[in-house]
Amino acid sequence: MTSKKVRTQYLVKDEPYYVPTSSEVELFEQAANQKIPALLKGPTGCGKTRFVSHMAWKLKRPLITVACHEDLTASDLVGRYLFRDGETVWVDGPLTLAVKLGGICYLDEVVEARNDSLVVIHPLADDRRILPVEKRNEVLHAGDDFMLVVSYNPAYQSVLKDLKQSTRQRFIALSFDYPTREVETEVVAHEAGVELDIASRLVRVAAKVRKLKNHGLEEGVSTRLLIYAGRLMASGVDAGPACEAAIVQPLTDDADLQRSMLEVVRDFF
Amino acid sequence: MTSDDSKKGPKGLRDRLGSLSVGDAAELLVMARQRIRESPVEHAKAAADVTRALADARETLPPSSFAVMRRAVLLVARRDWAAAAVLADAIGDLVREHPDSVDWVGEAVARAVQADRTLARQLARVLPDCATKVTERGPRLRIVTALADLCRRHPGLGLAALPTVRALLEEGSPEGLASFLEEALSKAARSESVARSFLLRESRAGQEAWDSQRDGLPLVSVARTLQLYAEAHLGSGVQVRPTSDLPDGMVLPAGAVAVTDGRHIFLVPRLDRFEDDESNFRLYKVAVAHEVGRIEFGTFSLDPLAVPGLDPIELISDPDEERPELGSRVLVYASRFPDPSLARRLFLFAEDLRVDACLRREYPGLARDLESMSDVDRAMRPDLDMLQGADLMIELLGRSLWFGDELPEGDAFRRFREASYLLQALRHPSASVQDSAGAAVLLYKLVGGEGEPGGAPEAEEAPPEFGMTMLGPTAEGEAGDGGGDGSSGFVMDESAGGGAGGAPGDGGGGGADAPAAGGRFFTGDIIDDVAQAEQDQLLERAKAIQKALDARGVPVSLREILAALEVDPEIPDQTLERNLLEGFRESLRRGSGDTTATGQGADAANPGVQVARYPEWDQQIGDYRPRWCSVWERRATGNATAFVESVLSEHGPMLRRLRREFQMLRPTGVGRERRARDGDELDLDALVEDLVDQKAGRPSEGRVYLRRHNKVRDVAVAFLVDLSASTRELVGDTGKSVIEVEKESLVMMSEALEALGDRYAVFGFSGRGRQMVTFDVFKDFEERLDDGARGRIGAMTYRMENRDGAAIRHATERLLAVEAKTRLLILLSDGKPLDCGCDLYQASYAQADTRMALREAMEQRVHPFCITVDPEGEDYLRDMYGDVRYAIIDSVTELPARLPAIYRRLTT
Repeated sequence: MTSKKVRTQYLVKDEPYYVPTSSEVELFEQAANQKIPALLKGPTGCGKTRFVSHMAWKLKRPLITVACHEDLTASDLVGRYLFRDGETVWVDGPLTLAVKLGGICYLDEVVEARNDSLVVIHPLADDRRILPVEKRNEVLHAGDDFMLVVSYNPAYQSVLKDLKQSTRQRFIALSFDYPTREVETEVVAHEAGVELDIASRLVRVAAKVRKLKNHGLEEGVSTRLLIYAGRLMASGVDAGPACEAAIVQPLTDDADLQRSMLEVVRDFF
Repeated sequence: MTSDDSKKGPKGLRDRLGSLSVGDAAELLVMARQRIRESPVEHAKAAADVTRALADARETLPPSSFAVMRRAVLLVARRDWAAAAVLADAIGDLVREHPDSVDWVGEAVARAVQADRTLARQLARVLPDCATKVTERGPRLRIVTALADLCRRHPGLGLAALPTVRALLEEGSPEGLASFLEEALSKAARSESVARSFLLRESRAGQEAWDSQRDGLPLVSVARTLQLYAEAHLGSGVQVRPTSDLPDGMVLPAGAVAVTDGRHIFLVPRLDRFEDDESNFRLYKVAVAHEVGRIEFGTFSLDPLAVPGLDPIELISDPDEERPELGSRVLVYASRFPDPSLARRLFLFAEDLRVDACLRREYPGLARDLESMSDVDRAMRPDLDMLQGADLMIELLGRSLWFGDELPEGDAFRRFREASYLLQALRHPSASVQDSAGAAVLLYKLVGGEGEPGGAPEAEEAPPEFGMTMLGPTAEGEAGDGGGDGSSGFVMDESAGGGAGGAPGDGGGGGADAPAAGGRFFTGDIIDDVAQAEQDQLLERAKAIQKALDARGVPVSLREILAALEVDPEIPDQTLERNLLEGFRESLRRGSGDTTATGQGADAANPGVQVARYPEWDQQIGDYRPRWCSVWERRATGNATAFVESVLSEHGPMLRRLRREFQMLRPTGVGRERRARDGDELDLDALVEDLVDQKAGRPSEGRVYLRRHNKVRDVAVAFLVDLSASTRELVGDTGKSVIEVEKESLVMMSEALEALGDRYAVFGFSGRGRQMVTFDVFKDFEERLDDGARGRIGAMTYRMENRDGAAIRHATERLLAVEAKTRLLILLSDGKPLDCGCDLYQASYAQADTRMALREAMEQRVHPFCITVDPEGEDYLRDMYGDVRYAIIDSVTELPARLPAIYRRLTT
């Protein structure tokens, strides 16, 4: 496969739906121009990933996403030798690929990865913009189009998982939250294909439920879940069961909490 | 009792004997003499009481009844005079109403004496009362017998049973109570501890049995759901509480379910309006939603000074008056009318219509629930014939506006239609509480309220009593009714004109189970100022305590006592007195404390104690006060392994699960895994072998990679427990105190951590004053969890105050002394930091210092996490904890399960 073909594969073809909430689009564009890596923080399901793919589409750059996890190693990012048909073959990792293709490398939930694995991104995330591939004894220089983007959820409560300052301070940070009521209504209506009235009720339910954070709820209900609820309703499920399945049950196993949320749902539908 | 009494006793006895028969007198004398010889003071007094009671009874009761009573009392007196005295005092009603049961009761108390005198005396008080309340003979005998058996065979359980028995009698059926007791008895035969938790409703079986014996839906079973529901709507500034928490003298109108003061929503403790729990819950919810609506849509933001239709006025006198607190704004508003009570009723009537419209508009689904209560509401409306004047008009308007009833036709009712238009305008989305207040001004004129509204509130005018009567049908008749021109014809019973109304303050009027005129049945008036009423009560108590302490030569400022009372209003006066006294003595003993030099290490007098000094942050000066607090670290004492064992057995299944789960968190270890199917690098040896195998035609397994593991857990955690006096408060109706639940959680947590292998320590802190912050070590980091440590944790108990900042600083120091990659400090507390020693450590000062101490910890890479069991906490917590993570456990009993879960989440 030629590099061009691979590149096309990672391009975002259709415009991903995204409603800006403040100046994040301009900031990101300028960061991309200025070759500054970006860190997106915010609660789960508030639109971080959608934003990145929207920006990749807008900037016409390939997008390579890595979902980080505990066992992610430096080799998983950079690449490794595999043994195939009696021979060793070098296979690029996603980071290397992004550098070579000149695209956006998006490390989702970056705190999940261990700190020692993350050190490999350091030389890429400052003005050097290089990726040493030790096993092959080569150093890749990132082109102008390469951009590193990481995301994490600050509400995630593990003390063992925290970004080191040396990592954090290589990024500009954009803070995301659930959109405003109007924007979220628009988003839910669009994504779920429900009427504005229904979307507005879902969003108002969410506003109430989010007040329960720290009172048994680790986090408020995400826009994503609201969209799921909307989709279920759009496909003919009644509001009660739809919200229970998409909003109440995913958030908690606590029966009292579930019931109070169901009552809030009931107030609106 | 002085020695005087003991002399008086037998003499009083002799005086009384005159009115008894010779036989009785002789018997009493003989018995009394013997007892009095054993324990003169107590028995002499009791014997005198018994004699007096019998003598009185002889005069008032018919001879046959007296004989029965005498028999029972003497039966008990033979064994215990004090119990007999109590019984003689309590048995009167029973003798009159059910003489056939008196023997049983006497027998039961007498039998209980054999087991336990204290219990017998309690029983002598409770049992006649219980028996009187049960009208049917069968269940009555069953209850008495079961209780007597329980007390005799298991004296310890008797005491546990009494509160339950009382409560069940109030709220359940006698048959239910009898079966409940019999079941407890059969359980006790197998295991006393099982029976105990059954009786105290701590076990599920007990809870279920209890619930099934009572009618209706208990608030406790849904309180948390309703609390969370209210929080979802309003954020954390609101609290759901039972009406039994209302200050003395406040009562709900008959039939009402909820009232609010803008900060709390008070709900009746039980609902049995409907047969099924679901409908009862629905009613609870509608009532909460309505009160939530009042808060959400601004009833409490009424500006009483700028009401349309009333001249704007300015209050110069007291700046606090100008924008009065929440509920008292309505008070100020109403006081601007010549008839404040009528004005208040009219305002709330108008305002409720507005709030209801807001609710229906904002919450379309809630409209259905509100509607569903209409049938009940209509069935409960007060009888029109019983109403007059303004109340009649309000009720007719209410029926028309709430349920769409027709207003009476004819010119005479023109005023009604006018009023109705006026009120309907309040349903418009733009209407505010000011509009309701304005509408009430016009209504006041329409119903012909006395005088001209609009005067400045008179300072003395505000009614001091808390008017829960407001919307009651009979309240305050002297104003509206006769006062109008009377020509409108809506006064149906004109003869009952002015002054016929009941006295203000008798609540609900006539005792009928009818809602207030015009109002919906489930809601009561708003409460003016619970906080003020509570504050007044506290002040009274504080003064009494100060006086008592003064008498003992201990000067304590009123402010200090008040602060202590505010933290823990439930604390008995005597306990607080003792605490303050101890604190005073302790500070005397310690001197000023400055004599102890830092770094000196051990206190000479007490080799186990280490003293360390820490600075404290003073937000007013914006600087630290260096070496301000002395933290006395000492090894905890005590050995309560029994407690630990009971916890371990109570939570057996959960404990096994926890151990398993935590064991699985154990890291797999460090090192390389050779011949892996997948890995970062190629394992050359394996690769060569694999190639050889392939060449030789043997199947290749492809295990040629080298995989690195470097999963290590290097966590040290310190649990820092707030041992302030407030943790002695009981949790709900579990019969356990906060500290006990915290202890249970620590027991569970330590067992889980043993399985995991993380290093941990358990510290507790309390103290009084900056020179004496005590820091108890229950289990140190390097210590094993042996019986000694378990016993110390089990013996943990509440002490005095909590000065969080100093304790956090010391715990941080302790953590830093441990070699670990991740250091975690988990603070378990039940509320605000508070230390009212000589210098006041409270409110924003304490919070600022705590926040600073937590920040210092974070700067030193210690991760603090705060767990608070104060459901009212949110407001200041966010402020105090700042960036620090925290969790609020609103139902403390969940703590044993939640703590390990939180720990797990924090460290994985």
